[in-house]
Amino acid sequence: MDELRLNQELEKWVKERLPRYPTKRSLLVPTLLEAQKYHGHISPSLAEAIGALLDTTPRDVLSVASFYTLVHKHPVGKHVIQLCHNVSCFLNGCDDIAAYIEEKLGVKAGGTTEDGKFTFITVECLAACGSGPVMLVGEKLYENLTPEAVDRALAEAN
Amino acid sequence: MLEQTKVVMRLDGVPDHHRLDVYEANGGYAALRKAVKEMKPAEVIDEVKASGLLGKGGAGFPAGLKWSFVPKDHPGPKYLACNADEGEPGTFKDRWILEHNPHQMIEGCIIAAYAVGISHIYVYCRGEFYQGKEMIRRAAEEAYAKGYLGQNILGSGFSTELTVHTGAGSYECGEETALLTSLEGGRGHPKMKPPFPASEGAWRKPTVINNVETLATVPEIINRGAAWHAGLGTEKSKGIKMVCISGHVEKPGNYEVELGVPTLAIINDLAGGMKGGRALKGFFPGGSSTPVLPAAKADVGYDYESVAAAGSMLGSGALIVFDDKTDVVRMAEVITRFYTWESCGKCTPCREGTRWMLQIYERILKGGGRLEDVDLLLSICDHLEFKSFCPFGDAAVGVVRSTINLYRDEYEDYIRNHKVYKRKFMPVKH
Amino acid sequence: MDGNGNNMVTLTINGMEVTVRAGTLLTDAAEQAGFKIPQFCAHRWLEPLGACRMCLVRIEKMPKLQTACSTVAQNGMVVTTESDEIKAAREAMLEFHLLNHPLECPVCDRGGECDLQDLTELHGCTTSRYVEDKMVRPDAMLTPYLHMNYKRCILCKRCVRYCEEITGSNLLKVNERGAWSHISNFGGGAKDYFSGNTIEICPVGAITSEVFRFRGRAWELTKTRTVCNQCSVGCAVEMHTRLGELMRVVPAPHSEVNDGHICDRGRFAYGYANNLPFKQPLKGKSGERREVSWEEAERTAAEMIHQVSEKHGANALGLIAGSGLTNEDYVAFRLIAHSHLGTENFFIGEGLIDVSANPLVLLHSLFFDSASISEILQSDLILAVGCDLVEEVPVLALRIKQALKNTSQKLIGLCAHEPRGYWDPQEHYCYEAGNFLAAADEIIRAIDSGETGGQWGGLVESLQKARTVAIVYGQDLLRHRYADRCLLALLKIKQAMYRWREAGGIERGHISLNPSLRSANATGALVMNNLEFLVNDEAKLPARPHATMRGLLEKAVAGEIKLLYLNGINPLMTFVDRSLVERALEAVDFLIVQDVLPNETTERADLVLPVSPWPCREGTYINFGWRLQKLHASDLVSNLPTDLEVWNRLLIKLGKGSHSISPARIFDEIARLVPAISHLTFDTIPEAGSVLGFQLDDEGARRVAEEVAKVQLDLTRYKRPEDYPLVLVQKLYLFRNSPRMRYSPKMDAATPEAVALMNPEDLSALGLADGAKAVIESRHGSIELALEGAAWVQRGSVIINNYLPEAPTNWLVSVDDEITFVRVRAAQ
Repeated sequence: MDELRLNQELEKWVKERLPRYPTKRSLLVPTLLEAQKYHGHISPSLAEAIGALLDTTPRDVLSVASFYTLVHKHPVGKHVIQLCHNVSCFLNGCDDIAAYIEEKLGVKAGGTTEDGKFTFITVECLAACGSGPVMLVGEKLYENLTPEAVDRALAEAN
Repeated sequence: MLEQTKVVMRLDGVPDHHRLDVYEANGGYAALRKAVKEMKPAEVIDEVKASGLLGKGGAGFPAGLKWSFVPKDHPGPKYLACNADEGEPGTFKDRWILEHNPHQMIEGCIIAAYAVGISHIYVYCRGEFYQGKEMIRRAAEEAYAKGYLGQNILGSGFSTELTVHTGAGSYECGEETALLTSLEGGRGHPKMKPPFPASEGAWRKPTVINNVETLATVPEIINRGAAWHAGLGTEKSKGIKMVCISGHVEKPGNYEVELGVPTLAIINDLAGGMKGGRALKGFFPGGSSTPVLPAAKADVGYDYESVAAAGSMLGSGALIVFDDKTDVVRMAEVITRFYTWESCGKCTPCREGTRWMLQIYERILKGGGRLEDVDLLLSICDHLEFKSFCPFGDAAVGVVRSTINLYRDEYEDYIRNHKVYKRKFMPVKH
Repeated sequence: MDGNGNNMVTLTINGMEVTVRAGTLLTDAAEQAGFKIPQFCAHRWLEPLGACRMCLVRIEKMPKLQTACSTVAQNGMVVTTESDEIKAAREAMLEFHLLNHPLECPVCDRGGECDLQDLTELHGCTTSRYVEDKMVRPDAMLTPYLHMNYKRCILCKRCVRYCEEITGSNLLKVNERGAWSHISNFGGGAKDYFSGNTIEICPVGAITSEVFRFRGRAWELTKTRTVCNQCSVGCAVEMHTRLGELMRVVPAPHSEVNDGHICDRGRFAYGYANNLPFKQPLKGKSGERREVSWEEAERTAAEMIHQVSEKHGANALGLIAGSGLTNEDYVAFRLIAHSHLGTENFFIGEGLIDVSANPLVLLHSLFFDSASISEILQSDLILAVGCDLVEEVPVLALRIKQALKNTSQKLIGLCAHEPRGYWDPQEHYCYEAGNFLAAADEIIRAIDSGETGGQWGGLVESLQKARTVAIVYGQDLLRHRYADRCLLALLKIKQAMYRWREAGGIERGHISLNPSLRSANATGALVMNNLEFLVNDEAKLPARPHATMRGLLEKAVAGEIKLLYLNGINPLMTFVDRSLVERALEAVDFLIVQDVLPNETTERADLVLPVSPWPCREGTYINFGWRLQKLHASDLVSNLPTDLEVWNRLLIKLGKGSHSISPARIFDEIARLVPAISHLTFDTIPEAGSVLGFQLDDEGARRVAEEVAKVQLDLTRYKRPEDYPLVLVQKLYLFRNSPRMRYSPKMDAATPEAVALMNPEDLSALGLADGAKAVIESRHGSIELALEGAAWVQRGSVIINNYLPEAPTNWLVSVDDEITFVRVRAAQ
């Protein structure tokens, strides 16, 4: 396994926050999310580097990573589209939006576009039930989705 | 005509009240001043106890009583985990508070910390709340700058820190002990109780876990007094509640009402009635984990005891309303998939039982259902209920059992006619 | 309160009143009352998890059913464990457990000893209502020895928790969540010498032994309790045989030595016994060797022994018995050598420590200073000196780790390298490689001066704070010519501590000195080699000038010993100075080697006498903690005789009478003569063994202390010669490439690499890269090995596995050297 050098900004980010917790490992979940911004998905070598930084084993890091939906264990597209498919959005027609996105991007739910730009997944309740259907594109939340709104949202992602 | 009773939402409509200066201009941080300058910590706890404030995350446990469980002579450190992991389907009130009224929540956190002797507040925020996390971070920065957080707050000698801690996509982490496990850097598995978090919580230290809305109510209790709060609501459900109403209504959204008001009034007076004039078929009173109630029971008082008597639970206050055109079997499948995919997997009945029920639903919707599957689902519910490690298992049972009891004919329709549900897309586990 | 001062609680279970110790879990309380509550995820070694939900019981006043495994019995509790409600709950939980479980008992190794089978039979229903697709995942290897069948796994997580809570390797973790959870090693890379114990604690056939796979059904196996022969801990194990073959080795129940754990070497390296290369005796030097009958072999041996004895005298016979033989073997060996053959030149053991420099003190320490394992585990401070516990005495290391959890007890390491990152002690101190004596001197001065600053300040402080101390000293001290002086140094440290306590009027307890002697029954060998000091007057054991391995070999070289008879010892690999052994073997007229497996020494023999392996041994061992335990022979089919049988037949051929071949009779004879054992007979030795109390009275202790005080230690700090600037550190590894490992199938994966470890800075100073092939040479010899950089190696030292058949380190060592200095250069 190739040794991975953690991005310096990421290391700085971690070290700034460590004093706020009684144990280093406490910062693991936030670190996993932050690390994805610099290194993409959580690979075994990234897990080893994070483990060394937080005084835990790479197995622990990967096990924790595998528990959480927002942590990617495999490469994902540049922008991850997360469309809620839970009950309130279902009642407001998220299935149609899902079908629309599948058609527009040419991928099935769970897949990544060929150009690597978008990964489209359907997820659980995003706590925006009053304005469903809703989706996250990256970190931005789009509510009251219609096909036109979807078009606008995807166009914003560059 | 039902009117709202705005407490947590009292500044709704005031532009930019997420900013400290606007919040202060509207009475913000007066409660904190009163608490640390005029009251002893024990008095604060007593006041919150006397107010009858109930936890707003779903369990409805008396907040003041929970605070009083923390051993006073413990050398510390003691922690407060503010549960901002709003994941209960249908619920979106905490996100509103984080994004629009963060300071009222932070003020409540600091008052709680003062009352219990807490040295560090962790706001455990859902990973998906990018905007919410940012708003809390900014608000906390403002509060630090103003001396409401940090060392020697308002010259009282009391100090406390606040850290925003992110989750990463797990519904179970909204369960208080699973939240602690996640906070400690682990997989979101719930912990054994006893010991209870008040004596052994995060990092085995006394920890109070409170919902965002609960904490955001505290400043007003301090400002206006326990008696004011206890005078609202019903005998057993004192106070107010934010209601998130969604589904087939004209004006879905967050509203705040006195506990005990008729549910139908919330639907008709506040949410504009059924969308498109259609008929109400049924509703989830408090999120997908609460059993469905039929339209006939829509006038039930929106409080803990009345909804329980009607056969459901107030839960998180997420009122999900569906009309007479709703395919309840498919709806139950959506929710069962949610529990299956979100199950943490620690205990056998929940891990195996939820997937079993999902597989049965998928088979029914594919036209392969058998008549005995309906009773089989009920049997699985009986076997799962009250036997799992945490209430997640019980939550999974709610929609299955209630929809079968209320709409068995729809299930049998699928089965007898080998009806196939035409899926517009197939969800895939990521 | 009960008679022992324990707090008791009384509760009602199924209408019966039960009184138990405070703190007892409901599962144990119920068992005491005669009710067995079903469990999967609970295990007495592990923290309660409450995950399987099998143990749900009804407790009055609690609204929901509660898990008995996690509930502590309270006064006045009213518990129901048997009722229709509980029956229904158990059936429901079992249904969930079986939901995705494959119905493959007929092909599952676990069949017949499976908790899921047993509990389903007791509590489950006989049909399945599940008609959906089961969760399927292909099998995987968690380690080369642990076969994981995911379909069977019920996610009790005992394996994960064992590796977290007991061994600390964190080898296994859960991957993904919910119904997609599965156990993973995440690509491996974690070392765990005890991973095989997960096979036992797995309640189903998910984790199974790769070595035992498909070799037998549990109910066909004959179980024989015995003692493991792979190290000095002497774990109680069970041999499981089928049709005369050894199928597997597992921990025996109820042992105070290993408490149900064994290491992976003991567990997996047994296959050699089923396929022994030697079928008949071999006669003739390598090249012209042929199989002969036992008749011819014994005749040849008898003839040669007689010839040599007649021509040169009985002392021209040199006999050595190595490790792993039983106490009865050793006693017989002594008597045969001394009384029947009449030679004084015999030795028992591995020749580690030469007591001749000061026999009174050294023997007294070896016998009387050590403690039982229980005492060690209760010591406030355990100090491992020159001893890598997990490599030398693995299960003791495991028990120490467990004992020290959540207590104020401490484990401190003092050795010639930094912590390796595997089984590191809580605190660590380094002495310069090869210079333990100098460090000991400094430590004694620090104790005497009361100074708590400086390099040893922390160690001295810890020694002062501890009420009881257990010092475990190992191979880095014992495998040197100055081993005896190391022991004296430790005695002086001990005396310095006693002086400090006396001066301060501080009450403290025992400081024990426990040698880690590497091999099975090394303690027994030590006792038997020095039996003349331990017997009562009746014994009339003739005195003899004290022999050493070195002495015997030198006599062979000098021509005083003409015939060497080696039993169960491979000195070419295990003696410190290979060239001395080579010369000795070269010099003698005749070499007889009696052993189980081929090795470097059997290759040189004129006559090889093969004997039956460990599963056929009957007799006793004394382990590291002075516990006497019985070995029982299994029904392994072997046409080979035991050591006792061979010696006896030889005696008869020599016309020198005969000797008993019954271990029981031999034991009873020893017991008569040795006061410490005289309360036992072979038949009355308890199954769990008996700790031998070699006690020294106060007067004796005082005399020893006086002697120790008188001894002036030569504490030379060795100076490095310029042309050989590095110190050789020979490291003992648990999984060394010994014959038992080589002839057991599938042990390649466990064998460590053949490399020489150096500090990376030394490597770059020499201009050598990681992986470079190098020549390591001393004044006496050289070997070739690849180099590997490791930051935990002290600068100025080279660490090499001391058992590398391809590059034996003992080529570099001379028996005259105190330390071995080497240099390293690139190979051509």
